[in-house]
Amino acid sequence: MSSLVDYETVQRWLRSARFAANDPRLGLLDEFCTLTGQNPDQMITECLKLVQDGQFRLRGLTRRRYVERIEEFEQARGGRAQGNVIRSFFIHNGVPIQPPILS
Amino acid sequence: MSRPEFITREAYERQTFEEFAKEPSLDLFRAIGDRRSIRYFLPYRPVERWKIEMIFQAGHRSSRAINGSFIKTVAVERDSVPPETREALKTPTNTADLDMAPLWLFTYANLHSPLGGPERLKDLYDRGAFAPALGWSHEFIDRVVGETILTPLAASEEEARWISSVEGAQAIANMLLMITALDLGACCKSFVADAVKDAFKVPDHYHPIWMILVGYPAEHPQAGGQRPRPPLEEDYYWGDFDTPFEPTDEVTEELNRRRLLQPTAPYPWRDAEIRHIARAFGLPED
Repeated sequence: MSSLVDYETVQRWLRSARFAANDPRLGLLDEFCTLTGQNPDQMITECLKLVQDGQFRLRGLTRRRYVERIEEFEQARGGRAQGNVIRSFFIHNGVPIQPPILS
Repeated sequence: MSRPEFITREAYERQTFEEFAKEPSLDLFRAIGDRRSIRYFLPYRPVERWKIEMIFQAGHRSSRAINGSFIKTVAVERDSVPPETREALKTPTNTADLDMAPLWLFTYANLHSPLGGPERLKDLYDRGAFAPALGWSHEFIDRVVGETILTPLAASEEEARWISSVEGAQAIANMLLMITALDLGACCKSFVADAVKDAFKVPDHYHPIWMILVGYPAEHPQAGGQRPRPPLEEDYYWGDFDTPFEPTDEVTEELNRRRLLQPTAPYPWRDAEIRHIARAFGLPED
């Protein structure tokens, strides 16, 4: 497997969120990838269907599945902050994922 | 960039109808200038019924062709909606804001609104809105207007949808200004109309326009500053579309003074504000 930072989607995330290449958040993404059995690029490609000329359509059911996987990850990993790291990765790659608000 | 104005404590405490009735209302210039799309709400603070009534009355006074009932709106309190319906309403971009806003206004364009137009026009004629001076008569309404203008509008769904949506939007604009004047915030959102069609008993001839989220802002009511607009002369013209309508320094200065024109976003602390709110609600900060 390539280093996480070699993936295009990870580079986009780091650039867009202004994280350093050695940001500790990468470790959480790595854990999430292990949980899902997918690499970062595969997860985003699964959620976005190329329609034409660089325009994508959200795959609703796939996105929904990842919403649930992130919630599972969040519960297993100990908190909202951890889940939000993964959400941030999806968001900066064009897949909007919001958690329910904490009340 | 000038210092932003903070909402006063008095404004937040102005919550009872009796207290509100003693206050001077926000003037129109300021209401137009202050209006924003508010995206963060205090989830625990409900909107008072009297404020909803004022919002509806403002919508009800909007301009409306043939005096028709183009907009149909149902106010729904978030907490009265079953969890499964709330989930079904959510789209990829309206999850957290739906959870935050305590009041939802579902607006629809009434495709049957042209019906009954002749009777309403004759009523307006009798009340002096129309007169022979401009060519109006009962005969004209009965024999010409109905057949030439109203029947095609009602017969074609495309035309009915156009006029109902346009006229409905005029009511929405009025409601948004009233919401601002009442120290509330609002944001127009698309919604999954099928999710609520049965629950709200929506007739087939109601075409969904916007779901308006309403509540007390959890962000500063000016939401980080006025949104940028292209120069006035790019959208407004004089005489023909080759001649831009140029704003003048004198009028711009007066509109700044009346706060219709305000500093453009972002205020210097906007990023910190959003991070603070995100942290409070458990939303992604980065």
